[in-house]
Amino acid sequence: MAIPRYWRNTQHYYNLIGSKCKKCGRVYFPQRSVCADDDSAELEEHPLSREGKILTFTVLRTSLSDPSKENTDVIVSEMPLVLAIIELEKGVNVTAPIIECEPEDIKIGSKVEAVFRKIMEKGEKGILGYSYKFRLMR
Amino acid sequence: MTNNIKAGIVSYGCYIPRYRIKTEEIAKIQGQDAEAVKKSLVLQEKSVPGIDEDTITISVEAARNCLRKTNLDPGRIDAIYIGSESHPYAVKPTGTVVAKAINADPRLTVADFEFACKAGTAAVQAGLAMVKADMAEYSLCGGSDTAQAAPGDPLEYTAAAGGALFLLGKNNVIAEIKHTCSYTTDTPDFWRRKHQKYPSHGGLFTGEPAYFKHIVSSTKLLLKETGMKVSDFNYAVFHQPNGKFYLRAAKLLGFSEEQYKDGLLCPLIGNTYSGASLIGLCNVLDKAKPGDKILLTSYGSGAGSDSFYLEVADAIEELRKGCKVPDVKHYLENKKYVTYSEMVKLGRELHG
Repeated sequence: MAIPRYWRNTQHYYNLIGSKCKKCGRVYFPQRSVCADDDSAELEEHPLSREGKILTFTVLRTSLSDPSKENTDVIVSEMPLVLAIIELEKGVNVTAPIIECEPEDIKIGSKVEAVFRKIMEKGEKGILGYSYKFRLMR
Repeated sequence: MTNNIKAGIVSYGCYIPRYRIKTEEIAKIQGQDAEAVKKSLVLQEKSVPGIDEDTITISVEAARNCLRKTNLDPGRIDAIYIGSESHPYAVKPTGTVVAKAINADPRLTVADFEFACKAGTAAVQAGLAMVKADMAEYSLCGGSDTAQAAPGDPLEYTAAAGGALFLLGKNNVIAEIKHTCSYTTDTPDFWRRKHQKYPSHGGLFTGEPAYFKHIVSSTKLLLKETGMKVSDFNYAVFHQPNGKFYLRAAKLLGFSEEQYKDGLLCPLIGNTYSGASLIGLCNVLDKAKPGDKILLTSYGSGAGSDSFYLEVADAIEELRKGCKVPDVKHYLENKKYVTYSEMVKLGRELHG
């Protein structure tokens, strides 16, 4: 991921800030500048809940990391990786890893909370990227 | 090193990674007698950071825990100082990411601190000075680390991860910092040269002329400057490179088990370096009552100690009311053991 693209998204990566249409109330995540329902450009920042529930998930067992760590983005993730679609509030879903658990611990409907983790290393010399991941609520 | 302006801790938060490795597991790899190591270091297990955890993520989690206890607008924080010897960047402050992750206003000053294991308390002293000088309404400061140890080094048993951050200010203070002082010398007990992956140390030299001399001298200096006696304190917390050093320092200074036991977490989480004495302070604040007096002395190799005299205020009861933020006990209890090879994998050493 290019540095400017990562940097522009840090607000929603770090703080789960979406946007809400002032006219119809529809919430978007990631943020949008124009509402898809009524074409209104009047949207405001909308902090999302940091807790949600798992709608569905999958388990990846093939490493996403680049062992050579050269020139490419290294995805910082433990394997096996559980990727889930999480409902944070009605109609607002995010796709994110579920960490610190065994895949068999996860069920559809499980409650999860957002945590702040490293997601990317741009090679050994490049920037580090941080974002939300989720873990089961204890 | 203090004045009569009242200021102190408004809120606090800590974070300890979930993974733990038992001393037995490391002793098996190092070919040592686990029971002898456990007895010698007074250490059962240590925390291990996840593959995606570093000093930045630990600091953010601690900062968020700290702020979740208050209704404070993060925009009122004027200074963020974070101490560590494992800042992920050599050039780009950890605090810049923390500031954005807590939605602080860019109209603030940020700096990273370094002084081995006392970088966190050095940051607290600087943050306190900013508040007392009216250069900051609130400061957020403390220490976090993901400590490094070379495979086979005795440090491998203790080098752990964790952190604690404190919101300092003049209003709604839950523990007033009534006095702080430091004791610093040029002592080469432990160091890491530029570009080196792991630290080096002087073995037994890290004891008498380093840890004990500075902890005892700084604590005695604080007692002298405040006119307080050891018996005046309800709690005492010291830096804890291992359990044995902590206990010996506490006893050398004349503190009783009742006073020092709640500040000692090293046997369960290892040495969290810049976070070590500060997480101990968090555990004390989780339990303390208004009026309780706390003494804290950190230690950083190189070498120096910072001592603090804190008095718990009535506002601590208000802070605890309905508080659902994880306390130290939560982190001590929520753990998952890993094997040595899993620890290596989490450190991504397998990829060379």
